[in-house]
Amino acid sequence: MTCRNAVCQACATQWDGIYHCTTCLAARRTASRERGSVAGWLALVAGVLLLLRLTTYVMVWAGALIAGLF
Amino acid sequence: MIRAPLSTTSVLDETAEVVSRAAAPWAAVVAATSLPYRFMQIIFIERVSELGSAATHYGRALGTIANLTILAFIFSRWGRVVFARACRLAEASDATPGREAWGVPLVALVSYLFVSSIAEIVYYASVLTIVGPVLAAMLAGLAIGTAELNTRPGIMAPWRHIARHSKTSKQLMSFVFIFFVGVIVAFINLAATFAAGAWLAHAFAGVSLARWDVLLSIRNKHYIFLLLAGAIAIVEPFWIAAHVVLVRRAGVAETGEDLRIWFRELQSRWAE
Repeated sequence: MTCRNAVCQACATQWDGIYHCTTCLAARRTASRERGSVAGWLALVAGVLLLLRLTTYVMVWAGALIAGLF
Repeated sequence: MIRAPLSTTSVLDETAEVVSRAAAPWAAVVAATSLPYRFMQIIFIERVSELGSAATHYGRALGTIANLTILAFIFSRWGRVVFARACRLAEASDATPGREAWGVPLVALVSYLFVSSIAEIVYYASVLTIVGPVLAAMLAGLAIGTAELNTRPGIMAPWRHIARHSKTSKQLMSFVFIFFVGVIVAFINLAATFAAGAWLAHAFAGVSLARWDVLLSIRNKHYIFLLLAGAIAIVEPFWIAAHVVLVRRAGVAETGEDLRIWFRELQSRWAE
């Protein structure tokens, strides 16, 4: 138990072989969600910036290519 | 088991109703945000055609125009998501959506920007092929249709929604063809409207049109591009609404919500 409080068997939930109370489980769940959310945001924003930059390059490349053909 | 068919015509029927409820004032948001992007595209195309084969030597100048075009692109995508939300609200409530249509979740907007950037890259990279632009249009349609389903940030989350709704590829392909024809029809109508306006001004107001005849001539490339931009701006709200309705109906059929709606309708009929 992370909080070191004593709870009965019925109130404890086993997760990865360790018993947790509902408060400790909720805290772990929130922490995991926040980590996932921050990582997701970072990946998404980096992806968007990269793709927008790539779009300008592809646009110029395609424009120059087509202008050269005709 | 009775299921309402997910046909292109039934989706388009519902699209017309949704647009009629959401168009005022939300279609104006799409037009106002989309036109700067189309104008920047026109400037880019005209500079490239002016430079011709020398365009490869003007990479920095073209890059500057492309950067400004991409800024306008971001603005236009925001307008599209706002209208998609307005369509979803109009469909759900059977009423004209109010200010709540502005409240697009940030995660939905950024996820949509992510997928639509890829669609844009596919389009520009394959603009000389036939298959590439069609695939890009289908991807862009699915991206706007599923934009509001994105509730968690991540680069894989939008693709899961798109993959789940990709079984509607038959309808998506039909939409590409229908809206392509729609743009041509809107183009002809716009050209006819301008021609009629010029003729009326000359015939009834006695306005000298020597200069306007040159500007509004089909030999003027700039005029043709502007007509095309106008035609796309006219068709775009219908295109967005069609994909929102398609994704919503496909999702409803998947979750069994269609059967629940059908059962409720039957119950209300019996009650009458």
